[in-house]
Amino acid sequence: MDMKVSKWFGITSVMALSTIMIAGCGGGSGSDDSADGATTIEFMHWGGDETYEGDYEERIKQFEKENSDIKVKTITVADDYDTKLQTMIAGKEAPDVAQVAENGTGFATKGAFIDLSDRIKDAGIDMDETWGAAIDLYKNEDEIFGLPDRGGSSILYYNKDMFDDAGLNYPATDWTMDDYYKAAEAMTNDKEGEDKRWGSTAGDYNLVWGNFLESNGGGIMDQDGKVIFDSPENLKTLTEYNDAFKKWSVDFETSEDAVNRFQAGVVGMNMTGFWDIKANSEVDGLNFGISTMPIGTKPTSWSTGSALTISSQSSDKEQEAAWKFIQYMTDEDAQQILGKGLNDCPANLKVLSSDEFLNQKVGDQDLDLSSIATAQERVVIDGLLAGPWYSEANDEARDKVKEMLLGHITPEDTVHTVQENLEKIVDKY
Amino acid sequence: MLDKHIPLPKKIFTYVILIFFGFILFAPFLYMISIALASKQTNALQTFTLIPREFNLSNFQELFSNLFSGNRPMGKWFLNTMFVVLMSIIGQLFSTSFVAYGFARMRYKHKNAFFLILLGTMMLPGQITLIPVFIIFRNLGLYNTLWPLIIPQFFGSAYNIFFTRQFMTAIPGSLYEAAEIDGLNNFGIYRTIVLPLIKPALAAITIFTFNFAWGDMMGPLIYVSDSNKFTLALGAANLSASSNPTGDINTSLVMALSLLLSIPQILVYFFGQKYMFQLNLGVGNSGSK
Amino acid sequence: MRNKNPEQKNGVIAAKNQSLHQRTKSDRRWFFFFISPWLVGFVILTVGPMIFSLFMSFTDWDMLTKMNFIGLDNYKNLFHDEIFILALKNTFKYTLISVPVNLVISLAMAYLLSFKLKGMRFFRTLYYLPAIVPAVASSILFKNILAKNGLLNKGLSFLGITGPAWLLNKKAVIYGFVFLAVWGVGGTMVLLLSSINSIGDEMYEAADLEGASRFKMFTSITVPQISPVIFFNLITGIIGSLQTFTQVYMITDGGPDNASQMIVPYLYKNAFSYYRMGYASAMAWILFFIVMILSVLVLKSSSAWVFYEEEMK
Repeated sequence: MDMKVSKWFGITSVMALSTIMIAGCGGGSGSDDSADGATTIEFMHWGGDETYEGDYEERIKQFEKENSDIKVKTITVADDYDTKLQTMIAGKEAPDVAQVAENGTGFATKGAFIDLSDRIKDAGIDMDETWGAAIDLYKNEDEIFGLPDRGGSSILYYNKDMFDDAGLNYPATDWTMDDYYKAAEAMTNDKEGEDKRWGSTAGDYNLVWGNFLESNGGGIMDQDGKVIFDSPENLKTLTEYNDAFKKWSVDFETSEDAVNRFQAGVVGMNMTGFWDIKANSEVDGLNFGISTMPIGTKPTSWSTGSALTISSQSSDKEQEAAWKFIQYMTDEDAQQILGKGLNDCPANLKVLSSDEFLNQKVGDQDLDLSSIATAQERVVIDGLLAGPWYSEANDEARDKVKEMLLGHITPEDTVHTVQENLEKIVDKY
Repeated sequence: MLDKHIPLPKKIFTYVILIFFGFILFAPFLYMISIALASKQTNALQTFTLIPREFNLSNFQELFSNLFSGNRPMGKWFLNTMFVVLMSIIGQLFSTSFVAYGFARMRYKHKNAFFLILLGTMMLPGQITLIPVFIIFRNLGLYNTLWPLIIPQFFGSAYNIFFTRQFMTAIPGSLYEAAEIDGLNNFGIYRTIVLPLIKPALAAITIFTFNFAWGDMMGPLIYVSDSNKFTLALGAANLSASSNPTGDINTSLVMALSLLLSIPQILVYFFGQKYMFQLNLGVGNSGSK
Repeated sequence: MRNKNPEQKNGVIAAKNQSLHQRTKSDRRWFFFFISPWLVGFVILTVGPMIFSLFMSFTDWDMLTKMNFIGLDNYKNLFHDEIFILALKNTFKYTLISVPVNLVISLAMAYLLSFKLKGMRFFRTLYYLPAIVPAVASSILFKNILAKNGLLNKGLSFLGITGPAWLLNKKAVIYGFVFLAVWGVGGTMVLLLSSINSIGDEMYEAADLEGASRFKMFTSITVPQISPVIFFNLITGIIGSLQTFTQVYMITDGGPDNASQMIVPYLYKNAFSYYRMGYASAMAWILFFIVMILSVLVLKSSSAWVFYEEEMK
């Protein structure tokens, strides 16, 4: 009996010990102030080394040069960014500055980031002029939790040679959806194998169909978080989109690498983000141009950028240093560096419309970079992106649209089902 | 099996089957090689062939040149990985065989209950305990180090313990009795009788642990933030990650990288397998008294 | 011992009884001595997080804000979660197919590879190669292989079969994963082979003298001798298949429209993309109980067909 009691005591005390280890009493180690008075801040981003070298490295070096009392430690993440960030926050090791995109609102509604509104006001930044509607993505109720850093919205790439062959006019910033569909039809041929040509690659990427919905006066969710998927406008848009996909787009079974087929010169048009400009310009024999997305009843673009946030776990000193950092990164000098060579698209509108940016040459291509600025100005943030429901709602909507494009369900079913399911999902948040 | 003279038709038949299935199993690997050697154009069009038709070494050249460019401390990554791998193997070899012996041979009323608990630890998905375990290590001050990857290896893994125990049960009781008569205690029996007889299991533990530690990306991803503390697996992931949200990866580069990374694993297996498949250790000989 | 007279017998019995108690005590000590490395690790690193996650399953924790206790709500909601039910079905279907298939094929392969023929080393390496390929690479590979015009369909066309678009077809997608599982059979095969090779020749010699065929020797001698390892493969196969994660996460992400979604990828999504750690924990524990029940069933049945050299109590 004695043994039994002491055995149980042993077990429970040991379990208590391990629970305590989790509850824990350690303080945050996070970023430290080094002895010589310099503040070190941690900055985390995704996209691997390629992104670091292309988009951040030079700017960070420049920042450190101009601010000798601040050191920036970069954490480069390849995959599972959200998992790592959540683990760090839960473990009280959050990085001082974290890159976010649509995933930001989820974190923000749970208090992970500080409110930047006052600092923005004190710094005298004109938000409208600097970022336009892009900043809406990083607002949570009255708070602003991120400064847009990398921008870019959806744009249309077109193959000039294929347009010439079909005798079509190049897309311009006033191109309508009708123009788009007509061009797609004209460039699609019936041949097989190597001679097969498609007009377009529009698929289930929400940047494309979501934008089409918005452009026709519809959308997925509105600014108040209400689901507006089941509407006559949306139904019309999706029906057209579905028909076009089946006739003039690269289907799923053929390949799910739309961009690469564009690079191969067998697809007339591709709609995606800014990031392909450089890659496309390096492909031999590809003669391409860029323009804005086709217009329905109003001109819109789908936002694709990311922003920089400041952790609420950081000390005051770290927050100050972090603010200096993100202010620098989003200001004109750094943004010009970002836009150089067109590695990525600056979010700063003033830079986008500056001569320095516009007059860049991209390989041998003769590109009209002003359409990027125009596209950025047309950005509209669908309610889908602006709430903590983004991940789940996007998965659901995208799944169903893909089902429609695969021919498993009709557009009518799609609008009804998505409406119903999205409402259920949004309710959970 | 018995080394009887195998009749020729049967021999041929066996070879045919082995080659046929071998080819099917090897085909994806061949495909991988073919993709790694593909040209940029083929990569763009994704028209890879099963049998390599092109021998474009640009991916490998690119990888090797990255080896020496300042940003990627590959040497450090390699050392880190070797450290984790070697410590893991040592930890597993020691703890697993020890614990397995306890389960295989020791007599205890509640042994099976404990064994069930051991199995039970395999039944809860690791993703769920990710955060609490992270918090424990962080409270121990081990965040941003490689220790969280190594320490658990010294406690044995349920999988390894389980199969080692199975191997141990094949040792006939007579050997134990003889040892007991000679005056050895349990530890002595473990050390002098059991360990030598389970060399195949130990070899298996070594190979499995090597493969796991070498390729583990999730562990370092969660626990390590400083790039000079990365392991090769994590560094490689960063190398091949794409910078755009559509996730278009450079398939060719990823395959080349994976091939290079798997070479040590193939070597370890190739040289280690002779220990794994040793013949006639006399274990399972109920005939020898 | 039989012919001792009663007094001596009692003495002996008494002596035996006393040493039995001591023996039990020392047995227990030895047992704990040997399993101590695992036990220590269990107590420090495993039991705490497991209990924590069980507790989490009764809350609405999102990892970032305060936890609120909500009782059995998570479990109740899981009953109505269509995707979860679909994931359960998919996971079971996958397990029921791939585990037996894997077991049979790995046994057959181990049998073939145990022959003493030239070049076995080469074949053994070949068959194990798939287990070495990193998950990322094999996922991309199989994405290509399972495409409509991919290698698998090209191979099937030689047999006159037109394969579907494996990853886009709701009915076929699980089978696509079964193919991937079969490809990786080398991992389970090596342990079987190792076990086969450690069987001594004497038993075969005796059977040979009686004129048994090679196949008969295999079924009556080899299989029983390696049954502990077969048992191991069966249990770990079930546990592993029910917890399939990486392949699904990287190849289809559960698609098309959750037709290939399985429990662990789904709970991972809930935990880290939808901020529902509490809900995900409930899923994990339901899975835990399912796996536990199945394992206990297999364990109980094992006394009928698993042959241990010594009956270890």
